Amino acid sequence: MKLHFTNDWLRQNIAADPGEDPEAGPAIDGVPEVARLTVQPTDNVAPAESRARVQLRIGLGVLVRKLRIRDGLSVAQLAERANVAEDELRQVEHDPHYTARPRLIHQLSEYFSVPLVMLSQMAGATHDIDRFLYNKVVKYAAHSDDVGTLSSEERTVLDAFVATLNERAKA
Amino acid sequence: MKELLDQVDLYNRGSKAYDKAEVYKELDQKNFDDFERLWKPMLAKRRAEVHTAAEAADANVQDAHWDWVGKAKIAASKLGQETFAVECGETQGLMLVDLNGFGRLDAQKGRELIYVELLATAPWNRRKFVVSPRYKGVGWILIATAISLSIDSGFHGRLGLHSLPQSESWYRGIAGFTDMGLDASKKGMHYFELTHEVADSFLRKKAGAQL
Repeated sequence: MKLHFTNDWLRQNIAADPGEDPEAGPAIDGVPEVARLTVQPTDNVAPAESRARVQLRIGLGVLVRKLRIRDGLSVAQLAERANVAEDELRQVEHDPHYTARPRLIHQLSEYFSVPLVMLSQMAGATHDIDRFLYNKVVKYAAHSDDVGTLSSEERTVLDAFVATLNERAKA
Repeated sequence: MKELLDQVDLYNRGSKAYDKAEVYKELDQKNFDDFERLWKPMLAKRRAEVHTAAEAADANVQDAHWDWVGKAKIAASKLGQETFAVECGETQGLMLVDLNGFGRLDAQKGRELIYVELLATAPWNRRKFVVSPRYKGVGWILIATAISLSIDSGFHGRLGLHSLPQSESWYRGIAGFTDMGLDASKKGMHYFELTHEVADSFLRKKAGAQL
């Protein structure tokens, strides 16, 4: 990371500022109420996707696809066995901007025996993202080829990745 | 892991000269020790002397309850949170930011920004806290660092934050943030946002100029 300001800029502005240094964050017990404009509610804001969430969803798609291929299932077959909608499953596998419904994540967690807490984070359904998980997911997705079969090496990598998710969920 | 970003100039009010300070990304044990050993006792002592929110604001001690050590440790394990420290001997300032903020202003609604969760200068640098504050400029350094992170993250300098009452005029008047008014969900604090254009102007701001 680079600092985009110079010491000259800093010196000039500090010298010219007669006031106190700024601070930010929650106040102790609230501040006295005064009649001022209230912030608009943000419930209806459609936020942009953060890059991290998109990357995690790419990882989720790769993981689900690899697990399905490992088990020799088509999308339709997995949808039937996991009791989920086929079109939703396709979107999870291929669309990193798709937000999977909690039920789908739950069903996949049950079917593949992968911790729900890990899949929920990968689906972008949680606010907090475990840095360790993120690094592992990005690395796994980056080293996965999008082919219709799994080599023995890919199977080993997949098993190791799932084992990591299990261990992390217990940590 | 703690990373030295650069050396910067910090104004020493006592000597009326500039001392070299370091800006670090991610806090370490030295910062935790400084907070526990130096900041916290001063904050706790002053906090015990005030009884209302208004008095706390007046004494510049509204951040006495912030648990920097706990928050920094959580931030280190989470993606999307970063901590920063300004050091000049001791820790002179601390900042915690969230990279998963989104704009509320119409001009940047829903667009990614850096949300400054906590920003504080050491108690001994505060004019209302001690008779002779030591350093001036910590806040400038930290806000400019947050803008730098926003630029490097591809957010073009966009920032959001909730200001403590005593800092509202700085964000509004000096840094050019847009005051979006009282946020009922944040104990009645004002929410401020910095746009791409104003962030750019801020970093090119001439001394004393209005944005």
